[in-house]
Amino acid sequence: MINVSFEGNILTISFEVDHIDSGNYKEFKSVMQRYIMDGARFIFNIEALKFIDSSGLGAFLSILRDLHKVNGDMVMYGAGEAIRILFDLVHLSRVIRTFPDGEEARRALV
Amino acid sequence: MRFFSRWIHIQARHRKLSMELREARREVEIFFRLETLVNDITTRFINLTSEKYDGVINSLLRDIGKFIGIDRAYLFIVTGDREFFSMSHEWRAKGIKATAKGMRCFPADHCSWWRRGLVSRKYIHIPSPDDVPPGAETERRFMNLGSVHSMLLVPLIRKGLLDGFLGFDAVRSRKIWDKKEIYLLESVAQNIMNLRLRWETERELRTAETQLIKLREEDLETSARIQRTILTGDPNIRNPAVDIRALTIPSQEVDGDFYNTVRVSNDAFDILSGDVMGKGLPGAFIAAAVRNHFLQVKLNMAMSQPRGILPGPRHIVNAVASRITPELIHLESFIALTYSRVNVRFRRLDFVDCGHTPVIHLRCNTQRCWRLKGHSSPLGFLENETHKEQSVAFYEGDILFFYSDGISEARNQQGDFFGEQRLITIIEKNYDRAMTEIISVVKAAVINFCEGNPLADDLTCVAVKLHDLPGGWAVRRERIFPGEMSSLAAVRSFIGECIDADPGAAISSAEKARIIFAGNEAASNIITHGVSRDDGEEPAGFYLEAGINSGWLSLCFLYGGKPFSLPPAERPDIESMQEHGYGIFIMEEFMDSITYADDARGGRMIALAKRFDI
Repeated sequence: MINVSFEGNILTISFEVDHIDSGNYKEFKSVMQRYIMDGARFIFNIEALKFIDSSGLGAFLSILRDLHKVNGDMVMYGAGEAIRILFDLVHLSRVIRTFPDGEEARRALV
Repeated sequence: MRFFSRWIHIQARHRKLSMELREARREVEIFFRLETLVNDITTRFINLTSEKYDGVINSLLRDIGKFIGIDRAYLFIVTGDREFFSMSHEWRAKGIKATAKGMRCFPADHCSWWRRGLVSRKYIHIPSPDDVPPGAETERRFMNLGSVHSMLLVPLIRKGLLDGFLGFDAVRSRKIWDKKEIYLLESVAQNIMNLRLRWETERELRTAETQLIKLREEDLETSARIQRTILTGDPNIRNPAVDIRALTIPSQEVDGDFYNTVRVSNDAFDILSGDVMGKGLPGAFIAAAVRNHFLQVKLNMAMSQPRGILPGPRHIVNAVASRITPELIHLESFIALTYSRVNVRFRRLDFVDCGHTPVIHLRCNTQRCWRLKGHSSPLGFLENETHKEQSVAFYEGDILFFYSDGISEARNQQGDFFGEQRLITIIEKNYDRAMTEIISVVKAAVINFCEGNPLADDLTCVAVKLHDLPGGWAVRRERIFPGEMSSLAAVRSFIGECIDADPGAAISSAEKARIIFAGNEAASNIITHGVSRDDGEEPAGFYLEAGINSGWLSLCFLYGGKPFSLPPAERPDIESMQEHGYGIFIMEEFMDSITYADDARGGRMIALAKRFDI
């Protein structure tokens, strides 16, 4: 489902699937639980995702909440037009910083 | 000698005492019997209805007169603002002449001695005409004219004022009444006074009731006339694509049902169907006022719009609501209504449901009825409420049936409701008949069901059959999907393909994304809550039909399974990082309307609409 690369306590996560929806959000959350540790910082590369539904959105928020509990953080980059429409609707940027590319995302976390 | 004399004296005294004792016994017996009679009369008064007033007074005078052995007993009432004494009842012993006509009603001033005594609440006891004091010549003349030897007059006092008197004449011999008799007769007079009070109160009540009934009848007639001429009338839609008929049967108490049909364009017309809380004239007036507000708002809107095209139902309802809700709240009234627009070219029903009965939509292809309900409150409930509009698609041969709760809540002798299901069954069984026939069948069914029970509410309905529809769908596709999460991707693809197939390409890529998001959420809800099985069995599938024309895009999900509610969407609090509650919000925000309906046989429908003609 995902690919993870490590750089210190920063993890860059990219997706092998093109959607996170009601059908696979539980698996996504479960997989991500393995990486939530003290001070963990996640960079989600969501360029491959064409679609996120309300369950997928909830999964990202759940991961963020778990990271905050361990003084961690997360950012995103690479959202396509459709996903940006969803993020804008729910004002996701108020809680998750999103960037157009990976470089900016990395700088934000360092 | 002294002893004998003493014996004679004792004997004489014994005889005298015996006589006195016998007399005393007789008096006690008479008094007891009179008291018993008075008690009997009092009991009769207690159980008496005022309708028998005259009969009771006559029998009372007779019983008292016979018992105390007098020849005439009568009742005089003070009339004419206390200026006259008028005889209302009289009893005479056999052979005794009636009181002379001139003595049956006379000015009270003419008998000022009687009047003074009676006004001061004292009885007047005249053992003989000779006992009439000087100066009371009229009284003496009256006694002589009536051949009266002895007379007793007992006042009737009401609230401290003289209201009349009870009179007893001894004609054939003199009579002296003792104080005990007079005391009991005063008690009888008081009973008569009480009976008079009751009788008069009930008479006034009856008069008031009669007037009220008359007013109600006038009210009913006026209300019915208002309803016939202003509130309902024939639907005046002349459109070759529709067969429209209406029925109104006012109940015994007209209760403010109204409907109105207005042509919007060659392809569209509006139907307003409402029900005012409150019956009779007030309900009819409010209904007329509301109907008038709708007409005024529509006129103003049409004048201010380019080409005079009316805006959608929600704009009209919200404009009217902002005008009349404060007034309705002040009047403690409210109005349940459905404002609908039927657009035959777009094949779309737009409706705002403010707490009214559902619109019944018979889909011709399945011959099953769907109950279309909205979410808004009746007008007059909440100030500043934004009433939402919903849109559903209809097809060739479909029927739209608007009705008032007078139909579903008509009761038979056993108190059972006619119910919505009977109405639905009638429509489903008669779907291929003309609307005038369906209306007749509904009317006959309700009347038969009531078994002569009067209608508690008006029966009002408007039936619309859609046939020979112009225009059509630029894209019209349908597919069945398995009831599992893996179907979501297929649903998204299906919706995307439909949008891409629209030759008019009216939908932008951003709009397409929004529609796909909303459709995905609807499908996800159906799979999660609707068709999922608790028994481990394979879930049923669901059916999705999509239609696009120049007016709108319709996504209609049909499935059989559990009902689930679509709560009012609220913006989720993203900053609390809540995990759930985004689905319905996404649907609401990305589409123009969501309609959830059922067909009362386990069939469920979620219809999403995106309008291009807003």
